[in-house]
Amino acid sequence: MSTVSASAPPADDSRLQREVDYWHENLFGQPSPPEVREQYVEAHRHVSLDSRTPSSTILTRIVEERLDAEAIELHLRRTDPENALTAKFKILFYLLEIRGEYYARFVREEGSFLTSLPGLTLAAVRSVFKAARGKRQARRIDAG
Amino acid sequence: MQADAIVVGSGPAGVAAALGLAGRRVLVLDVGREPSSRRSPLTENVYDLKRTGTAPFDALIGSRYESLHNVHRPYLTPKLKAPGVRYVSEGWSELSPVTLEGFDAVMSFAKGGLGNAWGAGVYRFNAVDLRGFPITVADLDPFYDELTRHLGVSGTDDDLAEDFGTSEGCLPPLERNDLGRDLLTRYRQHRAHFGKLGIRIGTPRMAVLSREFRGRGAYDYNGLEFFQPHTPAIYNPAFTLDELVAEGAVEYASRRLVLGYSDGGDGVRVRTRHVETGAEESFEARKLVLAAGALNTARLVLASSEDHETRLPLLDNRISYVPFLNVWRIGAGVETKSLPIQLNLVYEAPGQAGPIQGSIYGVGATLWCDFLFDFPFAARDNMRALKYLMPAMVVVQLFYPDEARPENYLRLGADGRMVLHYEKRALGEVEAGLIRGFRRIGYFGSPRLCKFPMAGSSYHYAGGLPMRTDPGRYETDPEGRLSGRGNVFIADPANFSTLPSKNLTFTNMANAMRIGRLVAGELAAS
Repeated sequence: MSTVSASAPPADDSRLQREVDYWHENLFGQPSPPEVREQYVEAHRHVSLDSRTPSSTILTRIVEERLDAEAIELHLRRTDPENALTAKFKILFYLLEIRGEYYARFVREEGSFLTSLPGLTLAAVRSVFKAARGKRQARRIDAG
Repeated sequence: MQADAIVVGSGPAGVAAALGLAGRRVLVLDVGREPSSRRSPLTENVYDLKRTGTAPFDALIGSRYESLHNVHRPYLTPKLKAPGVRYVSEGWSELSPVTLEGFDAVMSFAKGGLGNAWGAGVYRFNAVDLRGFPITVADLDPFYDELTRHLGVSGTDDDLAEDFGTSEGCLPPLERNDLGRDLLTRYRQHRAHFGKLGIRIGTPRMAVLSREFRGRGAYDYNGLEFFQPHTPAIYNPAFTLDELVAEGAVEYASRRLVLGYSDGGDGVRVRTRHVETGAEESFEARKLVLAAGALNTARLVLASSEDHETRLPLLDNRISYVPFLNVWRIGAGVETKSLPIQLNLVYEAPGQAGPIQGSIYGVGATLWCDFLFDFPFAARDNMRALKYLMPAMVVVQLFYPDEARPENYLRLGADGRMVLHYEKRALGEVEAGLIRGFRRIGYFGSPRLCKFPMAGSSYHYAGGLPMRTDPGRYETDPEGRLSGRGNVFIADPANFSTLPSKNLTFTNMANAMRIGRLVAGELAAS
């Protein structure tokens, strides 16, 4: 079981900064906002993921080889929901959810059944594609 | 002050027992953790705070990143993991160490106990619920009535009136959102269908104010209770404790962890340790009322007897979550001002020992990331799914009844750790039946999407020291007196004889108040 520890040794801050920038770019097409980058690094001092797979070496490969992190995360989540990459994505999304500029990505205050259909269809088709791609890329780097 | 009675604990049972002891000199011993006073109160709607980006980071995520708890630790309900409410359960396992075997416990050492983070459902037990108890509805009714007037309970009579009892004295029901109204309308149009299945749906009874009551304002539907404590509209036992202390009816000694007690026949001596200084103190009184929470009360009884062998019954409302999608509401806008609990259901499911009760939740004002990765798509597609599907989703939380079984027990280990052992039991048939029933009204679910948290996740624990007509060792008599301990009374659900599916807090309070009143009578007579 993982544990919380405020006094956990600081992780490699610059590695974490590069990592979150890449996750954000892979997901939204641009690097993470600077404040989120700092919060993501700080979050790793409170959230211990040491015992989880894939290892930081493999995560670094995803960043350095600019693989499709979102696709690999989906593949890993289907076989191991507690994997390290999903946990890191969760941290990032929590930090984004409370920011005004991401509100419309999470919440729709007005809408209708018909206007939602294209978005849901796209999500389903895109995810099928991502699952296949994630499986292929995860195998390539021995991530599972 | 030389107390007539010492009450251990300030949760729902402790304050109700203190209310029942009115007129006597009462000392409440408690650890009594309180919320941080440094935090500025939130004043807007949760969605507005997120939309404008004005939400204080410390309030929603936390300076210690408390809201990320479920990313790396065993699941904690949103009601307990937000930074503003972490004091409710923080550090409990150091104060009451446990070894968990198939059980996922949470205890509270906060002033007000788990009543700081409860669902606020208040339900009278009926004759069916009290099967196996040596007391009847008539024993509890006066206390239900009194507490209804004290807490402020919203509700009304509808199809659940027979299950929930009289709504006399209740405030008007809380407002439902569109989804809640839609579900109830469809249910009423298909009442015969649901009747055949043994399913009834109606309005919750809640200790949440629909209008101003005893100086507390009405609920504003802003959902801030997930992020900050002591929402005035939602009853908290700490409110009662503060009133009793202000009236001089109770002396409150906080920061005291009770270690054990001895009963000398003409009075009791209670040993405590100050949680900050470590200083040990003893307090004396003529009577002792244990209301430290079902698990911790059982621990105190075993520890005081230095018994590291006996296994006591461990009862728990197993829970499951059944999500449903109303297809025609897919894509609708979310209602930003809404009460999380919309409706209740009672399901007389085939093959079950008693009725199953459920709470029907609409989309909540929690952080949506709590559910984001439960959707089966890629991360960004999950955002889309969340946005379009959440406003069309209801989740039914089902509570299962329980009774004493030899395989489920608690005992005090030689190392001082309490062992909580619960055997896994397969669930799923009730959920499948419910899913079939709801299909008729356009609410679709799948057994594959149901969740079955580990035993203990309801935080409804009971039964270690059950009430019996003729109590044996580690059982209590119908007046709550622990057998063989003339001056020691059990006032919390440790004394429940069985555990029906109905949320137990209101009965916990009514029974504790009843026991408090009986103790007060005994003190007066002697």
